[in-house]
Amino acid sequence: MEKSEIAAVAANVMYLENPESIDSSKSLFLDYGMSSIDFIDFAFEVKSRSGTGLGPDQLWPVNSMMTNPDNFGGGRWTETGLKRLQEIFAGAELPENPGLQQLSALFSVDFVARRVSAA
Amino acid sequence: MKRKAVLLGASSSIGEKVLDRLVDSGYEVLATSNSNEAVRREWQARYGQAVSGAALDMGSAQSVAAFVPIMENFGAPDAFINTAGATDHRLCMNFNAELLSQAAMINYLSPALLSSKAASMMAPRSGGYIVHITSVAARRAKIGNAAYGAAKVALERFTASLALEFARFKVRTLCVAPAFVDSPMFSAFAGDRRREIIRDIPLRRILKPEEVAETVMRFIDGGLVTTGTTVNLGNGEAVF
Repeated sequence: MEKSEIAAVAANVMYLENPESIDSSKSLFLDYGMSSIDFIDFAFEVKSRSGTGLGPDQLWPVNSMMTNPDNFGGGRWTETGLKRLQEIFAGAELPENPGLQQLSALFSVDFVARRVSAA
Repeated sequence: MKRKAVLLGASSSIGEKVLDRLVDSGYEVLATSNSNEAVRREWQARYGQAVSGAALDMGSAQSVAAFVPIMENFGAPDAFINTAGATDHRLCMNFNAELLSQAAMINYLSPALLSSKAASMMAPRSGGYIVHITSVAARRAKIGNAAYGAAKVALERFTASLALEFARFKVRTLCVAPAFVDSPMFSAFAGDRRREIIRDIPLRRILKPEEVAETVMRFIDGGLVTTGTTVNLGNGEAVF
């Protein structure tokens, strides 16, 4: 799935006028205000158009990982959780114990394109 | 492709009429009743393959949990209709935690959980209708209807939020709140005061179950354009 198509889907679900206004490296959550409902809508549309089996929890696994004690507990990522994060955010420089906000900053069109092509 | 409907409480007076209408309209229906095997056999005989029956006790968390995979196996429904419910005419001073929990489970928690699940199944393929039969008791406090009325208020409020959360996915919700309906439940409630009760209703008649079913069908066929709202049905009892 091309980045331009991903950006178009994102623009459509967020009711933005121009998909070209989306910078592919910027966070859809933090910079463009993608809401939780927007995200589910976006994930369904990406799944349908890409033909991958990536549901919302696979496209952005961070939230579900944070509710799994194997990955996260007592406000800290476990070794397993950190290893998984490094796989998901391959190439990104992650802090020692990244918070949800810091990870949300990485949810960009570029990130989605990588997730889709790896699926 | 045939439209699919999940109908909870299909052996109730309103449920029976809704079931008839769904089958007449060509729906494939997953219909539930509370552990009444004979009723499910009767559906099989009357409707054949158009209706699959399943046992569901809305008062049991285990039964509700066991029903979820049945619903998943049935597939995303076009309509989810909950006509199940149980009144428990009892003074507040006579409630204990167990009785109150049971009323909440049947009339609020189980319908809320299952309708959320149904809406989540509808969302990926974009479209569907969720209907709960609530009651005028949600707004009209009477001696003895505290637990039932409060649970129906909760269900209406829950359904309103469900509408907002699933609107993006073209899933609409509606609560249908009838006043008195001519049913065994009404007969049991009224006893020998039937005439006296009807005399106090401005139009001096009570609803027929098929009139409630008609509203449900109107909504799921797209003839009643709304979401997140409650329609009050009645003959003047529901004028506030």
